[in-house]
Amino acid sequence: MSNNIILNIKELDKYYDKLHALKMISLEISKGSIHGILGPNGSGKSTLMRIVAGLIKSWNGSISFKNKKLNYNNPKVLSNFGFMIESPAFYEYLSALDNLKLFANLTNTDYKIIYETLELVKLENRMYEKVKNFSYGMKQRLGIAQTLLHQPEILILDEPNNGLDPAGIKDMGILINRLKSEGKTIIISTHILSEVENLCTNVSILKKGDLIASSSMDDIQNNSNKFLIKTIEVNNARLLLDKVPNIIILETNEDSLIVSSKENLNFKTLVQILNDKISIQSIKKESSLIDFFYD
Amino acid sequence: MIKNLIKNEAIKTLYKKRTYISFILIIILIPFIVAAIDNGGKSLESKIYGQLADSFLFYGSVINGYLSTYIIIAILISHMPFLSTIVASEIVSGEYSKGTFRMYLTRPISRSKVLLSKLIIVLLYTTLMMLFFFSYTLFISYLWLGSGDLAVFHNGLLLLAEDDILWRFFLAFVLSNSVMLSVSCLCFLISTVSRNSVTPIIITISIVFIGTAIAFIPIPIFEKINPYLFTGYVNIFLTAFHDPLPFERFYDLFIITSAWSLIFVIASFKAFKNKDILH
Repeated sequence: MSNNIILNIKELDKYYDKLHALKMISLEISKGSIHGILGPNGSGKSTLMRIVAGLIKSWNGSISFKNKKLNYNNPKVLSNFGFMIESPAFYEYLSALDNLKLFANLTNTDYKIIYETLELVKLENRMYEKVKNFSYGMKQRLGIAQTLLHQPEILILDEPNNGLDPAGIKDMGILINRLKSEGKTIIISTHILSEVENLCTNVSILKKGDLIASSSMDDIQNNSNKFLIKTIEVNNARLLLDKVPNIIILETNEDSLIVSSKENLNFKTLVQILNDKISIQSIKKESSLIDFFYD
Repeated sequence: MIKNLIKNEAIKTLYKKRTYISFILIIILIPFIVAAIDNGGKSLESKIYGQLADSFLFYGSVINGYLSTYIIIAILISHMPFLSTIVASEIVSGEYSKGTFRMYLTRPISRSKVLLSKLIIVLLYTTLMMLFFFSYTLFISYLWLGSGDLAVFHNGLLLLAEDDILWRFFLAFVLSNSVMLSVSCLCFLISTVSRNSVTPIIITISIVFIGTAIAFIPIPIFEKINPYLFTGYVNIFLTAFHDPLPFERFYDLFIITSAWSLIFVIASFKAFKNKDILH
């Protein structure tokens, strides 16, 4: 195992009655990375995070932190982690400051750190307000603040941009990058591809409980072999492309197709096949994670 | 650490409005009943004396603060289980339903300690509420109706001297509180396995209701099982005013209520420790 691996998840398996929620997932998280756990709803992202957080008790497999297997019977194992699982849920009848004091009390954290953290998430001017008056974005930021109080090495954030407006998403991205620059390892779960593309250094993709890919973002960007063809003559394009060996039509929409090939497919080849025969609006290389959803 | 956890639970409880419902109800209700006792004193007195009035002459009045307190406790004690479930019903289930456990339980603290801190707050709340009920009733009744000897029925009419009464009210509180703590522990257990705070109240009150029915229906099988149910001791406070005191019944009470409370608490810890937090 590389020394750079801070969290190692091995053969994690979880059933909810008959539903196989996680199927022998093995995953390595590098120190100082922003690791995206990407997958559609129901893919097992939240289950994975809840297991790491100790919220789910019965599962098989092992989780190691810095090469040491975590024993969840000892709650101290959680001191290296800060979690925000699903939407942030606070004691609404208390102020932001009082909420953080409750969390600080759990780890004997100095109250001075609360004020520093509130400043970091830009809530220092609202700290005396009751949380029930906070917007969703403010609650998300307060959620991040509570993860930082006991100064953990790894932050695990479940859908941190969920429910945020574009400005909120931008602010959250800046905050997460700042935390990374301070040396934190951050694991983010999301079902939005662009979030991972914009924010993450590594990504793992879950689908129906299976880990279908895990790689650095750089590798994924470089190895993409899929194209998005925009045309109003989708059916004609289909007929033409069907005739070409090795080209696979992955998806057909009203005005577009996504195609791939097991061999090297390039822009020039596609233009040669389609041009002059049908009207094409654009051909664009799908340079991202979308590949994995079709593999 | 447990000190900090108890502090947290105390803060959460004190900031919730529902915590004060039982105290407000008691504050409002008691003066009304005391006023009613004062107003209907003569008819109450004649009921207490009954046929004795045909053979004896009574000087003065038995209507006083102590009798008023005794009557009020007798009337309201069977309703106190409702009030003792107010905090217990919500203290765990409320955290499931609002999702706060998702963050609270991801801290490096043991679940057993979290639950213990909650249990301590529940037991404290019930005890404080019962103490307030007894002392406030005594205080208002004394202010309104003054003091005097206490007339109770035990092997006929028993008159307890004025200086022999206060400690009996304290004993009555201890006895009643023992039953209410069992009720709270039951509600706490249901709160631990339930995802909303209404279910624990409904189930607890239903169980108390059935238990009370068993205590009052004179069927041989019920009479056999009743001594082993904590609900069979709801009215035990009355025995604090008996002479001599039935120490054997007190012993039974403490054994039965402690046993039931322990069962409820152990079941709560077992359920909570292994529970998956999925909401």
